[in-house]
Amino acid sequence: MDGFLNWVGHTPFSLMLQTQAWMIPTIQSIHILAVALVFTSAAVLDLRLLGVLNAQARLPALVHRFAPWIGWGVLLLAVTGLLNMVAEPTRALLNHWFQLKMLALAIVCALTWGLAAQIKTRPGAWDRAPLQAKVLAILSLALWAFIVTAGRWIAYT
Amino acid sequence: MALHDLSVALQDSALGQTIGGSAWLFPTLETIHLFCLTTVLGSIAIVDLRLLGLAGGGEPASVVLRRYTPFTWWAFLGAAISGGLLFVSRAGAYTDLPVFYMKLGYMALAALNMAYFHFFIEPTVAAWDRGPPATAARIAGGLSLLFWASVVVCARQVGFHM
Repeated sequence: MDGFLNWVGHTPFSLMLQTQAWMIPTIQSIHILAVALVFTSAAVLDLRLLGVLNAQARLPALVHRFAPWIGWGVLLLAVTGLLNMVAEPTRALLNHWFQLKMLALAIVCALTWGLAAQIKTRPGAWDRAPLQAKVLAILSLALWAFIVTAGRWIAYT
Repeated sequence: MALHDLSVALQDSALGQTIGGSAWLFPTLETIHLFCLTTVLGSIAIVDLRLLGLAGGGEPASVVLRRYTPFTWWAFLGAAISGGLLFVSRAGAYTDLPVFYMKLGYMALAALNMAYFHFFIEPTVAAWDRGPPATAARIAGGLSLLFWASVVVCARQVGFHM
């Protein structure tokens, strides 16, 4: 693993990212803007499931509007995150915060995808399941909060 | 230089020393700052995209404004407090960075844009609440997105120079 990471860090592409001083901060700025998109879109859906915000709006309409932002946002996060890792290969992959962050991301993406898929086939499903809806919302909010927190703490371990 | 002396005094204060000397306070404040700034960006983007006529057209602009701007305000308050505490701990270094002043500059532009919108454009909302947004509202929405994104780009640069 160390040998592979060392090799990645010495590829011409990685060296280009490292030597252009504006590259890494710009990639990270885009990463943060994408965090804003994804975190807010997920929070809007979760707050609706909790009945706190948009309580009058129909859930399928909100999912239809905000779920694509989560999907495209996560893709943008993956691309910018991957570029970061190519530039600094030893920083993230072996870091425990990073590994936990990826695990939480996989779980929350599966949950969100499952919700969106179910809403598509049975639009009224979650309106009739307030308790499950609330549990899902709290789980989703907690996972996203952990992902953002872990992302910041990678820099400190 | 007076500003530099003042910022060094801030940094040497009991509060500055406590935050700067702790292993976990600075990253914890950074994490809180990150949550607040992403909420500011995300909630204002929902409003701006509606003002631009690009998303959320199913609801009146006035409803979108009323529903999401309170999140922007509370998150901004949180970002200002957490950011202020981060600043105090390393005030001497921040005030030496040109990009830190650029960040404040973009925040001032965003504030001016918001004030202009609030006092001169929002009162006319009844005329474009459901149809295509007025040109002035589109410009305000576009500028808001541009200024806030610039704040984030500058903020990331600030972190890099610490």
